[in-house]
Amino acid sequence: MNIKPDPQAARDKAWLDAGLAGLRAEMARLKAPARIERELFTRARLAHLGRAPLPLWRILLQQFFVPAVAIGVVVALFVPFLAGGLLAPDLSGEAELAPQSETPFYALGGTKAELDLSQGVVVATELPRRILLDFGLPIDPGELGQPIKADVLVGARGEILGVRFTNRTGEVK
Amino acid sequence: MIWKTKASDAELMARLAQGDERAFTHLYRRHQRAVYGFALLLAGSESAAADATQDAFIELLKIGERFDPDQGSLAAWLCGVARNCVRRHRREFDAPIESDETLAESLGAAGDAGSPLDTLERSRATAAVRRGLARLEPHYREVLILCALQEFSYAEAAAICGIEVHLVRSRLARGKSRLALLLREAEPWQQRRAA
Repeated sequence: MNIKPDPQAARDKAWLDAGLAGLRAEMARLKAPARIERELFTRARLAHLGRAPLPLWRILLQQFFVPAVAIGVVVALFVPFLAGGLLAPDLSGEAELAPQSETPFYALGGTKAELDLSQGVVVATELPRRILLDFGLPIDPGELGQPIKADVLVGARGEILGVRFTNRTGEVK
Repeated sequence: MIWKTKASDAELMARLAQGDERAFTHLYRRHQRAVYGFALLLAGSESAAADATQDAFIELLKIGERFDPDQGSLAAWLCGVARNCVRRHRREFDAPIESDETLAESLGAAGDAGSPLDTLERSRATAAVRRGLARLEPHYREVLILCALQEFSYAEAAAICGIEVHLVRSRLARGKSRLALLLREAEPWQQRRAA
């Protein structure tokens, strides 16, 4: 076929190609907001925390130390009570104290110093419930598959400084 | 400190599955530009693009070792998740984007080196294409972004959009024609600098 090229179509194509090239250059310089990386890094660390095998000292703590302390507390409370009732604990204020709304912040990453909340930002999140085992906290096996509400203290560089568990919605035991 | 790595996506995914946080950071830094850029041009909103990017990488954390590189590239998979997120959150997905001011700001529109007149002309063409892209129907827009701007293959674009490869080809051709028409309507060629 002998068709004369349309000069307007050629100009349109050149204009479109120039614009697409310019937009490609702009996209090459584009970067997602830094807050996304910080948030994702926090989640990645928490996901990793949920998968990590328990260290030996935590297993020992969980298997021996926590039950021993619990038995000690029971003995301290009830032996005097059974012996005479004179030293029985006053539980009248228990209803006001329980349920406890949240645990204290547990430091992560080998931090020995006490956590200062002004060091970072507290971010509400959900964690795999089995993380409670890492901290030697009790867990109901029937609820193992359910997440648990928690607050994490995130440092300026996105690192997690500490975690505390909450029962804001009432499902956390 | 996170160093650049030459490890493939599959290797990094395997390390991520074993709990290596740095592998995730490498994957994020490698693919965030493509995912965020695609979502930004598709949704026309910085916040929607940020949400879609975040959702895509959260999904990546969830799937872990179940990702199969034989089924397609990781970049394509991430863009597919981001696309679904944009569609889910943007009820009026089928409507054109009203304004491209946010896009221009987010993309950091700036002139390149060259004569001032050339620079001005290039930025005018770029702004015109950006505006036209925002007015284009989404099914053309997404294929144009993927194939003409991000240089995904037709097969990858088809996987991302959930359509057949021949539809990608036809949408790309029609999308370019539609875009050229929109550009002509917005700015007659007589107003452009003579070549």
